[in-house]
Amino acid sequence: MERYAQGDDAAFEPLYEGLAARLRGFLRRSTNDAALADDLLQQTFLRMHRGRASFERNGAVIPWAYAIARRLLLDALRTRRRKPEAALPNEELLRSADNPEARVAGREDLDQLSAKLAKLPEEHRTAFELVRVEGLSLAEAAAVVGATPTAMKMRAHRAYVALGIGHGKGDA
Amino acid sequence: MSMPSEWKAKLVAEVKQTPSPTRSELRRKTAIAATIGLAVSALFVGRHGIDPGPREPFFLAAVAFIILSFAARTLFAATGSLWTSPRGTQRLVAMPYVVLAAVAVAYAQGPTPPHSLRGDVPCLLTTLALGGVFGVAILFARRGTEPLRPLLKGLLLASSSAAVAGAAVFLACPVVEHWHFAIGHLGGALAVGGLVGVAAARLIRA
Repeated sequence: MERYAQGDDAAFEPLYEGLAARLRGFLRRSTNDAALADDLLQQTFLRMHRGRASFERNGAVIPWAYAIARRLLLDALRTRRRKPEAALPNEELLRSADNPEARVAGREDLDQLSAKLAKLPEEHRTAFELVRVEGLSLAEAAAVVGATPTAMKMRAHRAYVALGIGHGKGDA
Repeated sequence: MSMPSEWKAKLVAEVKQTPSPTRSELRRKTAIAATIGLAVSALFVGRHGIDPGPREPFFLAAVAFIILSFAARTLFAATGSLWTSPRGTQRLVAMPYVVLAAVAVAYAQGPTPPHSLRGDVPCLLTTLALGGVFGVAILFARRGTEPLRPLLKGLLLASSSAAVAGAAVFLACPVVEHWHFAIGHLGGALAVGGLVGVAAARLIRA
């Protein structure tokens, strides 16, 4: 990204290769709509391209890209007049999470978890999604939403408590 | 989850066709715009001269220094794209106006000459004009470059232009009266900050 921000257009392709699959997965899980996700992915890369000059020197590209994708996602959901809760494919989200409970859960348990996830406040669900599903560090996830890492840790913790699941591999 | 190669080729082609400044181009344009804005404000001060009136020169210098420091800080902060604390950014946006409000309060402590709304208009219009020139120059330089938080970054740029204009008119205006300061100076800075901020939120969005 550093080379790209400085004007090396050839650096776009490696940037794309490194980010496209992750961002596409994030957008697909969040929209449950492949066409919309691909459209948002394209817009994300175009915005990154147009805004490359404002990318902070030695900044972290992953949170930056996720933040742009998330902003576009929220705008798209708002435009469709759908609440993010309604748009989230919670079951897929839970299965994608590093979540042993969800992997072994029966249909009924998974439905219950999905219902709980849908009821979470938006910022708690986002914290869960970015940290648990997308695998971002607390600092990266905090940068995506513009919060402090401590706030992000607290939000993720509240999501885990509300969902009744462990914090990760080690403490599940 | 791999992407079809034709999809990628289409995106790469679209990216190549979409103009986008590099970091050094943006830095150069921002520096030119800031120089234009400062030069116009300096010309105004040079033409009218610094009129301390009953004010202490040290007080004038201190307020101008503080306001210009915030202007530089806000302009600098607006060059980055990802902040960890939008709340900190909001505080930064508010700072120049807080300083101007503090000056209005300080003026209220002294003897108050009769206030006339007609006397406020020239200061208000001059602040709007100077801030507008600075704002337009900086927005022209940075249009279409902010992919993340155009409103916050726009308000930072707007605060920067309002602070420069506010400081220039403050130096040239000898009137020591808190209502004049609140309406003509603080009001002018807030108005130009709001106008430039709203325009910026639309224009700098990538």
